[in-house]
Amino acid sequence: MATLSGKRLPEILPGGWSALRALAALAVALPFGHLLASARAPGSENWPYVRDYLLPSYFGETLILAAGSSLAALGLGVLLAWLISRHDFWGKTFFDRALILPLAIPPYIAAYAYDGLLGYTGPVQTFLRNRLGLAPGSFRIDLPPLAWAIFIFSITLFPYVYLLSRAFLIRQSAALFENAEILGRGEFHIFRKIGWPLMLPTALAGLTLVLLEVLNDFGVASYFGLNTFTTAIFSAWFGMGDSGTAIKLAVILMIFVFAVLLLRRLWHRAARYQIVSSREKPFRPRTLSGPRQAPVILFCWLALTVSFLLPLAQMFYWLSLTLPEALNRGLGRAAGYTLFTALTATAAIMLFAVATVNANRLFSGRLSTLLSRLANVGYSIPSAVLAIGVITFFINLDRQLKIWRPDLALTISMTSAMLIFALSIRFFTVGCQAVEAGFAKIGPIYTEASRSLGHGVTKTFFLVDLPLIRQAVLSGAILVFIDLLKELPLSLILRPFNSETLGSYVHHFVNNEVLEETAAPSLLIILTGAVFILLMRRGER
Amino acid sequence: MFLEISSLSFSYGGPQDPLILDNFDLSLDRGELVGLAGPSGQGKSTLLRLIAGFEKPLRGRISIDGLLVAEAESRLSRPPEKRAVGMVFQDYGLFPHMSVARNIAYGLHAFEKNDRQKRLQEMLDLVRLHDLSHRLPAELSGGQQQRVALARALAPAPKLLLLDEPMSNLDAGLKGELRSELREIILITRTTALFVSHDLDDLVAVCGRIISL
Repeated sequence: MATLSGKRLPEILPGGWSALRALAALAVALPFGHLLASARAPGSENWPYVRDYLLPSYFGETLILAAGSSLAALGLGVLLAWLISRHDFWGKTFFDRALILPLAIPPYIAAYAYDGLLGYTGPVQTFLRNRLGLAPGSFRIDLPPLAWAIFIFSITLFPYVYLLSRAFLIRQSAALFENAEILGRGEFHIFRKIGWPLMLPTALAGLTLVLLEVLNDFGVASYFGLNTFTTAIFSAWFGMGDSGTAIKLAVILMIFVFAVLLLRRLWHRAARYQIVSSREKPFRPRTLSGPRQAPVILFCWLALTVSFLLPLAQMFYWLSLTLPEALNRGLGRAAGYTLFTALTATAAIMLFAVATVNANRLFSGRLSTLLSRLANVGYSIPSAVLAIGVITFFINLDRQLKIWRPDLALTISMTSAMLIFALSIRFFTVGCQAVEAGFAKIGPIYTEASRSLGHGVTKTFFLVDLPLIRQAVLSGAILVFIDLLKELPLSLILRPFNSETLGSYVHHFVNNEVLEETAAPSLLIILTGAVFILLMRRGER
Repeated sequence: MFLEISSLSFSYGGPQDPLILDNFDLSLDRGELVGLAGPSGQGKSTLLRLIAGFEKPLRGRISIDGLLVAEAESRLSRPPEKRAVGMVFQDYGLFPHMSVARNIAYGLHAFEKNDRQKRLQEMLDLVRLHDLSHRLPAELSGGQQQRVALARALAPAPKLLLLDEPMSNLDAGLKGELRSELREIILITRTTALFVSHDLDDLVAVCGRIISL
């Protein structure tokens, strides 16, 4: 992050900037602090059994799922980024935009779609039976649930790796690759010996995002019946009604995530290169013409079809079966409630993100670093852990409130405040990163010019900084909004009684085993997300 | 002395890091136009940033027109907006979303409302940019941008004007004309100024006294 004024300015800011930043850090720290404190309590009668017999399998399946999914997404994302950045071919611009659309599909919806698509009553098997006359059951893809889950995560989450790797590659100097070509090296060698080592730290940043998404997931793992930490926390809390065990599992998962992030940090430091060049010529793609472009185009089509078009087509097929009943009041209420929670949380996130990032760029130091890291910890923490932290914190808050006002019981924890609070903590980092990128792009000069002309920090922010980072703030708000639309685990645990978000509404139909009914709310999530993603990309250009 | 800098030391890290400035002294009389010469990386721009208030000294003190604005020992540091120091930045830092007129009028908030328009006109006259007052900075040439930056810095009538390599982005052909124009404008406004450049020709053409860092 760009520091405006070196390291020696005072850390106490004028106006409310420091207060807003401290409030954001406090909001994140409270539920986690409460969770850690609760974990010290002795376990319930279930805990010894869970610890001795189930914990190893939770670790095992979570590890295999996380490693498999993130490596598969890494491979797909890096390969596509290399093909599209390094080459010019027919349809390149289209693929470049379209290949980020899978981000609009929540992995749990892709899982339902593929199950429907390839299941006994799905269009594939029906076609094979009715049109080609194959015997029932002669075509089956018998993959273990864990492999299915890895497939689903890799096709829905690879755009994280793709976006970062592609952005890195197009910034590179042409000299790097042209030198290798002049020295007689082929495409594969250039990728293996130059491209891959250079882009590794960036690709690892994408891999970390995939990893965090997988560890955060509940929908896919529960649908395929996997014993991951998240599903275990859910079943301890809801299935056994054992909050003590759920809290202990949540804390173990939190420590596990921190260990992974620490490893990544150490690895990132070791693998980072400083590119030395006096004059950088922009990277120029190689033109593929005639039949040489066919394999690349085919591969891009295949990736787009599998990751986006097929799940979308399946959802439209189901929609055709369920119309017009699917467009009912329940869907309207879920859409309205999702819009309410998503807009409120987006507004809160962007307000605090702008305040925190602005405070950090104006004044750096140990306190700033600590507050900034603390406020950004929410995205690293799986939702199930966060939900338990928030719920125990709010229930405790209600208990305290009852001491003062005995007529009030569970006042706060029965409202949407709990869900909106948790959503804001969880996606705060997404907003912060967008605002940081905006400030990094404009640099400190305009702020300094304004201050040298007699305007203070706050007035400078509104007159100069905000108009210049407006696009970045808008992009951040859109990214946050898309994430909130897709969110499932927090909504499932924290939504008030009788309220549904679109995600929990989809999950409700899955629980009732009427998969085709998921089409209308799923399409609402996917299409809204896709439109916003395309709008954001257009704005960035 | 109008600007007085005594025993000024600074490093970008802490006391253990290499010093960019070490025990530096400088005095300027009121109305003086002083050039500061020296090769890149010697701390010329850092000195301007310390005077403007964007950095805090490690040791030493700075006073402007008898007012102590920074003193390391007492941890005193007036914020940049309260030092009445104008600055022309190397890249000018013209607000890209504001017209020439709005850029120049930006620092006039301390003026009475009726005086603001008058002052803006004076500044536009001074830098001869009346015809371009509605244009955005991106629609101006390098020389025109430099004049806007100068007018903007001078508009609030700062006690001290700091110029950080304002010629470095200009073509050699354009420089000659702009040097004399720059000198003329600063002398007309009788502003005390400190001009930093790595190009000695710039300083010789513009400044009355040149010191080396």
